[in-house]
Amino acid sequence: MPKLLSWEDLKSYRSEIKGESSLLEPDSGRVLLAVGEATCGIAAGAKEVEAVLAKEIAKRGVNAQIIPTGCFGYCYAEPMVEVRKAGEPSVYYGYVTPEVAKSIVKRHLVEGRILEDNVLHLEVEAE
Amino acid sequence: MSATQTRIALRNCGVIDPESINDYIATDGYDALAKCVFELKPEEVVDVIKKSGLRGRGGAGFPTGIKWETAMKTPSDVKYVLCNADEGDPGAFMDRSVLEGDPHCVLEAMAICGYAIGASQGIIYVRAEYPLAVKRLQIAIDQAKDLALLGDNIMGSDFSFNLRLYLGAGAFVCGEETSLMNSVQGGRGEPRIKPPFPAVAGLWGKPTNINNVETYANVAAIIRNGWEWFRSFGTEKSPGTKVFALAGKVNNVGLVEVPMGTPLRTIIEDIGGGIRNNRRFKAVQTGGPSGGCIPAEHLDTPIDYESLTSLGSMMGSGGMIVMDEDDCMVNIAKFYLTFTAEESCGKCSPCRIGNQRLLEILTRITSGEGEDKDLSELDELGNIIKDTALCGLGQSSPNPAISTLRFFKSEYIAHVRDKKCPAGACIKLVGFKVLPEKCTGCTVCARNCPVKCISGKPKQVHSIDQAKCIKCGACMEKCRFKAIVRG
Repeated sequence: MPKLLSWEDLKSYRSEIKGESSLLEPDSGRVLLAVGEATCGIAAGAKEVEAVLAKEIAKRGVNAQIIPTGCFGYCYAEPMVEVRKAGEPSVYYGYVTPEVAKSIVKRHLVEGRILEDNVLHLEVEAE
Repeated sequence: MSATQTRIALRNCGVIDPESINDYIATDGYDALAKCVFELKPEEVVDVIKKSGLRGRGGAGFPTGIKWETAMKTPSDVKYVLCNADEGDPGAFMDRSVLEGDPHCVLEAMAICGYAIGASQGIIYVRAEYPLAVKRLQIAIDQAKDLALLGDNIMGSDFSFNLRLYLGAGAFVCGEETSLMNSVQGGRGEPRIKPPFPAVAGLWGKPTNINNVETYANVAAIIRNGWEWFRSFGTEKSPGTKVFALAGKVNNVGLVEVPMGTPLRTIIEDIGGGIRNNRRFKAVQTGGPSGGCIPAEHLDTPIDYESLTSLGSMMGSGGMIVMDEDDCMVNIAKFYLTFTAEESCGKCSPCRIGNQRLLEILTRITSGEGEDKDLSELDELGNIIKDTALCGLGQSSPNPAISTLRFFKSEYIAHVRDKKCPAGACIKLVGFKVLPEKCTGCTVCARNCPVKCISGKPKQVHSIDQAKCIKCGACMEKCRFKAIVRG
């Protein structure tokens, strides 16, 4: 890793890594699957869900990346998976079982159909 | 559902990968530190925090900027920055979520504080019971050091700041700042009298700034966006937001961040989705073992430090436990007193002996052995403990008893005079009886009674021998005809 030796260094480092981070640039075509993996999510089975997502992504050759995140705050609905696509509002899935995780990849990512029954409707004012 | 939430402290929780410093940097991470180190003088940093009106999120609500200013102005060759991550209230998990979801935001804020007060060393006191938080914090510290965002000569500047973790052994009193510092020094987790305050003479007698996790979680956002921005949230006296761990009998258990001044009702009914199983709301407990229970008639109270204190409760660290009609308030008070009596360090007698006596009174009342004078004694003794205990633990431990006595006196009276628990929670005061008009004589209750105290012939009304009954409730649970009730 490089040493950042000025504020300029930090800024240029930021622009270099931005494309690989959890932030989506518009029109990048990337798809991210954020899985809530704080203690609450892990206890509810988030690691199993992540494993199924990874396996399905590989099996179907989908261009998507998994981001293990902290707690979304909706502990009652864990495990949770958020589908982030550039230029589209995020879709939050709650109560995700390994079966639902499979369907998220197959139906949402491959066929482009949202699994309406599993969607949690959340609106949070950001910073 | 949660349109009323505003996320500042939790801005990155659930958004970024907490084990990736690149994710944090991509969301403008460490820009606030760079701005301080390269553009602001220490006193200017303190000024921004003072003007923001940020107050301690660990419970007492002391103005953060004043703490920083005192530590800055106290001359010393060595100073320390401490983070209190010894979250110990039953049902509270705000700090754990911040540490597990966005550890870098705490590190960055501590470095900013170090720059402001002139400290080059920081310690995060985190409970060993939070292994994932400990792991992610250590990863974050190592990553930040690798990039020269922590350690010696941060970003090539003259400012150095080294951070390490100190694992707490799980004593509740170590959340009290002077006990925490004793623990870091290798001593017993016991408090000492203040003043001197830590900002003047803290760890190893040196000026020390100590803030809670959530307080630090606000700092970088304030520096980046300005104090005016922060003041646009919340109220005049309590600016910004507060994170609450919503637990108990609500439908949507979880972590909530709302602007200060939001009514309790909004959190419980709108965000929390109301009470589970269509039961009726009875009270909300805020502030953990140091707080009190707030009844339905005060649900429209705006959440800020002063309002909650005036109701005999407190903000506390942000635990919020919702109770319904099945919860007995006397029993709840007993639960919290059991906790504090056990966690009292024993250094001062009001806390060591007083809480034990309070617990004995509450145990008598919930066992049906209470007398009228117990109620006045509970109130009097509780207030004496509050006035005379050495530290925050003892000064607030009677709150659960005093506040329930204030708002739910009729329930105490029912226990003491009628020997009845209206909520049906105090096992020694509950009885079960058979409703003759509903009993079909199916014998299921008799066969399931563990002490065989139910008698009756098949197809005839059964009866319970109250003297033998152990009040386990198995009969009521098994009866398919709802023929057995409490009473």
